[in-house]
Amino acid sequence: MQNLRLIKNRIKSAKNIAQITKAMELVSASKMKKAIAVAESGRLYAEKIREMVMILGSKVDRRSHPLLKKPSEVYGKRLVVLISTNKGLCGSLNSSLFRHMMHHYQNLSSHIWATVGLKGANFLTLSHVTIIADFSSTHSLSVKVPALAELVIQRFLDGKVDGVDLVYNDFQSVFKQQPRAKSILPLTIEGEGAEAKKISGTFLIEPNPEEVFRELLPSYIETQIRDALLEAEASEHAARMVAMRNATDNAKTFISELTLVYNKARQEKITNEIADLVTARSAIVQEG
Amino acid sequence: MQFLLEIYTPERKAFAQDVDLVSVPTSKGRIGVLARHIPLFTSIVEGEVKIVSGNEEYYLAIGGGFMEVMKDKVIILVSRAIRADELNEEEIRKAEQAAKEILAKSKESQERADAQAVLRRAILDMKVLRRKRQVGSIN
Repeated sequence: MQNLRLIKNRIKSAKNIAQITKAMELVSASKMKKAIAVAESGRLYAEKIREMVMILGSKVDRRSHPLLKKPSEVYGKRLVVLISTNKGLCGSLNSSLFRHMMHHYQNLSSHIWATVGLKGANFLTLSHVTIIADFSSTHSLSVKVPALAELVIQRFLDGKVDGVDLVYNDFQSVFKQQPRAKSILPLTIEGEGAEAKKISGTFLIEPNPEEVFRELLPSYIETQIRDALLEAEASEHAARMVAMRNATDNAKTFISELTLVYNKARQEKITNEIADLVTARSAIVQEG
Repeated sequence: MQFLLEIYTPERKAFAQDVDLVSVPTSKGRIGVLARHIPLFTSIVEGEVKIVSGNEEYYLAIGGGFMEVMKDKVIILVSRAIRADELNEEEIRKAEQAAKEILAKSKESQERADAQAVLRRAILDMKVLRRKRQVGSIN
């Protein structure tokens, strides 16, 4: 019977899909763990840099540093770094990020953009905005982070933008990724005083506080960019893992539904055959 | 008398041990730190870090960064830190060769600058490797 074979084929392809999505789920799970581990091991470095920025920030004249200064003119134009994913199949991760972004920046074309991740680059290209750099094909963090930091610092110091923002998905848990827009330039040093108190007495700073501070700030920006990139990566893998798990579950429900239909059809076929036999036989008996 | 030395990079904790002496390169020359050094904060430049602990000497190739000397502890934050025993001579020679070739051929300033950075690192790594060998031969 044609129908039976058709159902059998559909069950088979659903099983194949379930197998593939299951494998992708496992791959994403291990990639997510790796991204979280990298983020974790860099945290100490980031915390130390932050602490040192706080300490030194209390010792130097902050207005003297151009990265801390608010621009004298306001253009209403910012440099925004959009961190999305290169690949799809990660549920609503990118679309919710873009929705958040559209909401946050009412008019996309009044700002200038840099992108990490092909999905974001494609989205912005379709929105006809100015993209000054795309880092989608750079995979190594140790190349991407300094390059991005240099770019944003350069653009900010040129004075053509009011500030620099990062838009990315913040990893909160496997099931929750929060789209965020975070401003990194001009730098704000929050929590002053509280942390500086820890260091008392004389503290030698060589060659001099201003110079060290000047060298420290780009590192601080780098750690913030690195942090955002790692959060976004962990989010991507988490979202993909969940999406793939849902796909596997769906495929399984589909398989069990189809199996039911298949069995019913098979039973019906057998019943029909028996009924045929019985009618044929009773016809013969009556005639005899 | 020893003090605790910790070296961090963005990727990992590269070193953590009680040591007698650490010597780092700064823009104004090398600074050596012994126990009970005055609290100090300084930026450090690309180069090699020398660490003495008991009878042992360690050398690390580092990128630029910062050093914080506290009462009982020294923290070094650098963009990269590689111990001599993690270095692979063949790889370094290859990188060195490739960088030299680019420098000989290319005229593009960005490419040249990148190659120069690679070459500088390779020379530094080789230096650290040779140090390790000398230390080994004394023992």
